[in-house]
Amino acid sequence: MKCERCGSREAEVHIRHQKGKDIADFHLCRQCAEAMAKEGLIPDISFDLPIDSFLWGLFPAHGINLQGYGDDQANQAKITCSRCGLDNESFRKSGKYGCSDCFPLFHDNLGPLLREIHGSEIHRGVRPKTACLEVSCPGDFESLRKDLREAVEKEDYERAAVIRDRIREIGETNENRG
Amino acid sequence: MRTEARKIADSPLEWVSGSGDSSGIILSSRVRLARNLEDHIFPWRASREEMLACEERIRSRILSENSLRSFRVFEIDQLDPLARGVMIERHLISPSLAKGGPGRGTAVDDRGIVSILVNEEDHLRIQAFLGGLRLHEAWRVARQIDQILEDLVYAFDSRIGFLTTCPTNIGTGLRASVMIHLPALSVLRKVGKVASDCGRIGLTVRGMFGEGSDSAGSLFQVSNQVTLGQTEEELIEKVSGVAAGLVRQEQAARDRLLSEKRSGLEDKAWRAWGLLRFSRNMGIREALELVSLARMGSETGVLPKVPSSTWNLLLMDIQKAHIQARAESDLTPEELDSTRSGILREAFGPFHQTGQLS
Ligand SMILES: [Zn+2]
Ligand SMILES: [Zn+2]
Repeated sequence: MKCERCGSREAEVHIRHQKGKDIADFHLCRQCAEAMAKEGLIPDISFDLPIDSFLWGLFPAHGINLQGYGDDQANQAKITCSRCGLDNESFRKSGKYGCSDCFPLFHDNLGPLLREIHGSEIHRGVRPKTACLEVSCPGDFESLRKDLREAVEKEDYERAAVIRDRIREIGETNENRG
Repeated sequence: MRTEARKIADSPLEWVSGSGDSSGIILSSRVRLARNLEDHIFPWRASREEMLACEERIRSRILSENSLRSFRVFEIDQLDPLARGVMIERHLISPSLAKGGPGRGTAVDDRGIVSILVNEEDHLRIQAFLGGLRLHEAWRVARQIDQILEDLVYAFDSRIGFLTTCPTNIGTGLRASVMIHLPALSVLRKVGKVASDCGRIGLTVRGMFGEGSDSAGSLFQVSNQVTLGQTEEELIEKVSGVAAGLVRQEQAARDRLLSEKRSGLEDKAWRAWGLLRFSRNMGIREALELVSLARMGSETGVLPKVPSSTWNLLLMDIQKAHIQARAESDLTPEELDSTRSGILREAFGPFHQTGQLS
């Protein structure tokens, strides 16, 4: 297939760009893809990478296998983020989220993916001062308690210990806050 | 047209001054935080208008903050390719940000410690660079900027932390890295082993120039792989601890070379010195190799003493964009190599006499 923009070079880059309900397919040569990304017409995905790896291999390059993640809701059913237009299929291919709404959408439970990458699924670092007000923390607490019960049921004591620490930490922070 | 590129090439970088580490083995420490704004779609999915709107908010927050008044904000598209090249060589921007596009930019402070990359892979990449092994300090600097910019409301989840475009950065969004010079371990062919040891404990070792354990100039970057599940201090302590261990290993390797292969080391170091001092045409790869050997020679007392800052500065000054930025007109590849030789001859000239006397 020839590149649809210059019509001369072979198309190497195939991009499905979806914004809301509009879907546009691009079949481009590498040069044109780069030029269009620069103009902001298509998303800028690093064109330094060999083309194969850019579409399919981004995650294997990190040593992470995305197969089986991102589709835990219904098998292979297409889920599209209404805010950024990314669908779960594209997420699996690119290994990138499109906006903060994608996270709950593509994973019922982000745990397995995060555990595979980080060996953990619970943030223990700093928090924005706005993020941990009374509203969000009790909910956080509840879901951690649920995770803890699950971990204990599954006899995953290592994980249970981490969750217990986290619950304790949040407890302390709340007390300190008075 | 070259004035902007030259101005950037001539601006200070704190780590180059050589403060912070007496051994000269750890050149710099860097802490980078990945952040996104809740209100905007991530850069790779964002429309032109969205990119511009997001940049506008970040820029006005920076410009309105009194404690950030020393920052200069750059729009990548307003910079010519040479200025972008200089910024890449100084690690002020990444090659992918250098491609430019709507809303892509960077903000740099006047001491050359902090750069804030805007609309790269994430809306914000806050990075702080300091000389020597000073990751804790770099973290505090980056965190100060972070606490100012968080007024813009970050994409954050109370369980999994800061939300990033790639799941590999989720959580703290923190990458702590050191740039480390391991010539003796390279000579003894131990870098592959060091890298695999680091891999086992969750750290990545990669070459600064080129791939894997074959990095030109024996310069490597050691950084944390995971970003979630540990506190920032824990992540940083791990990289710091390993870096300090690598300094000891490198020093032991140098001692071994000095005691077991002294004449070989002396010959290599003096040959490197001679070529740096008298060559007339030198490519970047050879220059990096020779500077590395001569630096080790100087630090082990085989060659005349040259301050860390001179070695650090050379790593910038002999690179292509830096040379072009300071030239009067575009240099051909041959002119580039001969100019590079001139820079090296001049840099070592003042130390050469001492060498003959000692
Ligand atoms: Zn084309
Ligand atoms: Zn989305």
